[in-house]
Amino acid sequence: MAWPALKLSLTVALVATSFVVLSGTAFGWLLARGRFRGRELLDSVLMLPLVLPPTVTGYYLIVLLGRRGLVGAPLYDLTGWSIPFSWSACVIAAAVVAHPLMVRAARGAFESIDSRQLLAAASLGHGGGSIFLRIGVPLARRGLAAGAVLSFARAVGEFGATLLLAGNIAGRTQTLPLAIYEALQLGDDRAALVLSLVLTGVSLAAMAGISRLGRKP
Amino acid sequence: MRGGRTLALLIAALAAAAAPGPRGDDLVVSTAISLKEPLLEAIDEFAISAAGQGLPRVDVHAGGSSILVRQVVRGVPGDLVVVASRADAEHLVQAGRAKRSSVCVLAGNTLVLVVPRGGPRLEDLNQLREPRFERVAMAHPRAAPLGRYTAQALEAAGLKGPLEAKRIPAEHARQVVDYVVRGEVDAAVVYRTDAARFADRVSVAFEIDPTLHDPIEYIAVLLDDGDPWSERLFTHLCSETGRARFEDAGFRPWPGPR
Repeated sequence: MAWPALKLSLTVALVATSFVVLSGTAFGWLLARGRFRGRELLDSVLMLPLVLPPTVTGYYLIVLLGRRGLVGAPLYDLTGWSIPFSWSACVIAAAVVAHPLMVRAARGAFESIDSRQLLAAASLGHGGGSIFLRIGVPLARRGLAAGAVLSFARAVGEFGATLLLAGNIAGRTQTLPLAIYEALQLGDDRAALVLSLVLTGVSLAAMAGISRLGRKP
Repeated sequence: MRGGRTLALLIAALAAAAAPGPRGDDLVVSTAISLKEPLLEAIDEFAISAAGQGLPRVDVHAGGSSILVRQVVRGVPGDLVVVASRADAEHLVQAGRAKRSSVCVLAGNTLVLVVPRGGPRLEDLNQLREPRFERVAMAHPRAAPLGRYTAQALEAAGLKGPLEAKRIPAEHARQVVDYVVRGEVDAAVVYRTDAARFADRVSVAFEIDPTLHDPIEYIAVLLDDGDPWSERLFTHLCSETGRARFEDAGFRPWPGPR
């Protein structure tokens, strides 16, 4: 019981984190360096999954991605593929709840870069994309990496939105937190204990990773 | 110093927040979720008949019977439990939470196979093998009696193995219906009363042969050492008037025809 759930949790969290790192870094840069109307509004919207109860996030995901959802219905009609109760549903739920953590970390890291370095690059003829990739990202790498680890930890621990969107199917969508929930519901105390210890171990490792990244070189 | 004051404030806030919660003298009733609404009505009826006599507030928990029973056996406080299977009632008696005499059958029910309204039609269980039925919702056998009745019926029809890959497990009877209502599954086995409750979005394909599974019984169990009021409520529920409430709501009268 522990192994399939752990394996699923880790793969789901890894895949979710890779999406989150790409998107979160881009949005972090936009929020830190962009000057446009509605920037703080965008920030608030991006932060929503962090403050909303995961059940609300999960409900929105169902409304959006369910077989009869706004996006889910046309997708199902065209391709016959439906997201709920699938592996992808686990990834989507985990990515959505972890995303704000990456955005926040990336924004902070980019904001702490000395603007003169970016201006110097611009004066030497670098375009926006080049400044972002060659100057911004390398200078912010420590903060970005911490954001990635934090997002990964959040993704591994995701429960509420996953339960709603992906269900709780052993061997298919049952991640560690869901397996723990089921074990408790069904009175399998030993299994709940073992699974909880495994999850605690994973989380501790992630936190140790963050504090290593946090130390100055 | 500042931290100490914040902590004291926090503790005071927590204490204030905890105060209006369930009081120690509330009656706690746990019920199979499929019976929730008529049970609430029956409790209201009882409250009216007992008006002015100091009936405490009644808190009703609803969920999968087996999960509720497990909680009670582990010592979650409770006065009365209504479950959807003989086995769950027996579990409470065996665990020493209730006397064998403090048990009465309130009603029965029937299983039906449902599809989302407008979904593919079918006439018998074997058609669930067809590829157009990609996902079939079933209650979890260890969480809800509906799951055990479903598993028994499918096993008797030789479909348990073939449908395993299509199985979408649900925690209790209402979640199974909800998956059909939302159109997330192509078919499901549910109680007739739950299918009727969502008749605008769920179509009944056929009734499942009741000889394929154990009889479905809703059983009220009066727990030992409960509030004195719980015995009066139990007696009311088990009376002709009390049980008529469930029949009005579409449940089969008990003893019903087998």
